[in-house]
Amino acid sequence: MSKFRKKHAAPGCTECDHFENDPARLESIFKGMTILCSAYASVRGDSGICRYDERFRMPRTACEHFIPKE
Amino acid sequence: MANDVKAKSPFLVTEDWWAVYLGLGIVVVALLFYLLGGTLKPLAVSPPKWQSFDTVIQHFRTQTPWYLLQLILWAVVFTVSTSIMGLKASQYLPGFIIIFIASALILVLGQWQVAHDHNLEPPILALIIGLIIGNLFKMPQWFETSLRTEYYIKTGIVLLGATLPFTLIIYAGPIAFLQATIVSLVTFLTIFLVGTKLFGLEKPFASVLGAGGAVCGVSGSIAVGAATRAKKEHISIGICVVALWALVMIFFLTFFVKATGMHEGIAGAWIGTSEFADAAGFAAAASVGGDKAIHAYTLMKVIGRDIWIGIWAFVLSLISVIYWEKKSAASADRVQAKVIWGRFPKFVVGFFLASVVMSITASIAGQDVFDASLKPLVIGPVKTLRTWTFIFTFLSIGLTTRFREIFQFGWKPLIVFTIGVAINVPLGYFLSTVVFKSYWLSL
Repeated sequence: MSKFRKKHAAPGCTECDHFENDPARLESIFKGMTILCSAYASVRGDSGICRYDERFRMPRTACEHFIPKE
Repeated sequence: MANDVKAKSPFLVTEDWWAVYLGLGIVVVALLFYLLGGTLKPLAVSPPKWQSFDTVIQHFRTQTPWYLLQLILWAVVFTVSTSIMGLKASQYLPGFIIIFIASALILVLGQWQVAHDHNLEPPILALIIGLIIGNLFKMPQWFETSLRTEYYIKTGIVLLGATLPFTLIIYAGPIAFLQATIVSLVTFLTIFLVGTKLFGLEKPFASVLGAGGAVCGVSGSIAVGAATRAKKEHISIGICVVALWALVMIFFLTFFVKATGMHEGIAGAWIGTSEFADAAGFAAAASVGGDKAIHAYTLMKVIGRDIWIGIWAFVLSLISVIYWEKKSAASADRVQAKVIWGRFPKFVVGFFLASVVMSITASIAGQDVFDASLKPLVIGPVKTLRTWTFIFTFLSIGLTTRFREIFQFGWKPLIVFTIGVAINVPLGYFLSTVVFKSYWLSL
């Protein structure tokens, strides 16, 4: 993504306070994940948990429940 | 830490890319040493087969400095790379030193003639010892940091690429793809339809279970779970059910293959369609025996199943938005074709590159030079280092498995997944031993 597009891009899940996609935290939330997988893998990518609706998701453009990260 | 990780390039924060750098790095260094008239062979040391313990004592009396050097090199590359990924080096390093020492002891034990006679090969030994210790004792947090099953197995798979001729990938790859696709589609549809129609599971939940059984185990569940916006608890259940069955299948497949005396190539192909996770399948394939089982397994699992996870995630994401949530695909910005590459298991790039590099080198050198020097001085050490990564992997699987944590699911998802297994395993067996038998026999 160009610097211009990055600067003017709409906020998304990754900037939202509800969104949790830190790999270490995901591995502690999903017990058993490290047995045969990893949160540091390409297949997980930047997916994470939305704490608002408690669903696992790929990040997208912010929804109406967006709260900026502090 | 979250912000640090987010700010870094994906080429630095995923273990897939680090496995590529590390695996290809080892292959290139092995070739450079060879071209300069040397070899990595002394460094790639491992315990010899033994009947008398004197053999072991004598071996370590002369080889201990090489073990220490190997430990230092593994420790440096793994600690630096995991530290860049975001793990604490102060936690990872001491844990890895323990893993290396434990792996050396397991290799010694596994090379004992008595262990060999009782089918206790190093992979199974590492797994069993890990399971016993992991379930009897509570592991300290700093030690858990070093149990990176996926990182170790991905590094091993890249190293495996160097020992797998590219011509073999071209020859058997399409057959592996065809067989794996048949099994994957049937398994996914079985789990999905049984789950949604008979047991009333939510469609995203049934997809998480289906992808776990059909594509690439827990990784498949994670990728498809994110694509279909599955509930957090459904991802947790999917992880546990798939991991449980993957562990069961390691022992079942190994026992069945050995009990029936199945041909190695056929066994590898069957394990490739029947196992649910890369690392678990390698434990079974490596326990079966020689290279043919490992090669057939790799072709089936990596080329036949793993590399298509991005496509599965993309298609299920589309279906989820258009049919399950009744939205238009155009208005749903989460359906993006870039997910196909985004979820692609990047370590496969290293696997292919390692195979191409070594195949070209072998072709230039000619068959005589390959057999006389390239094989013992380059391929041999790479294979030994691969064995070490596999033992790190199997030990990590055992040590991270807590049965009391896994049994956190209801009966419904377990029964649904079990029905999928009941279809998957016989179908894979039929295709491997009857329909495509000649291909796997000729590997």
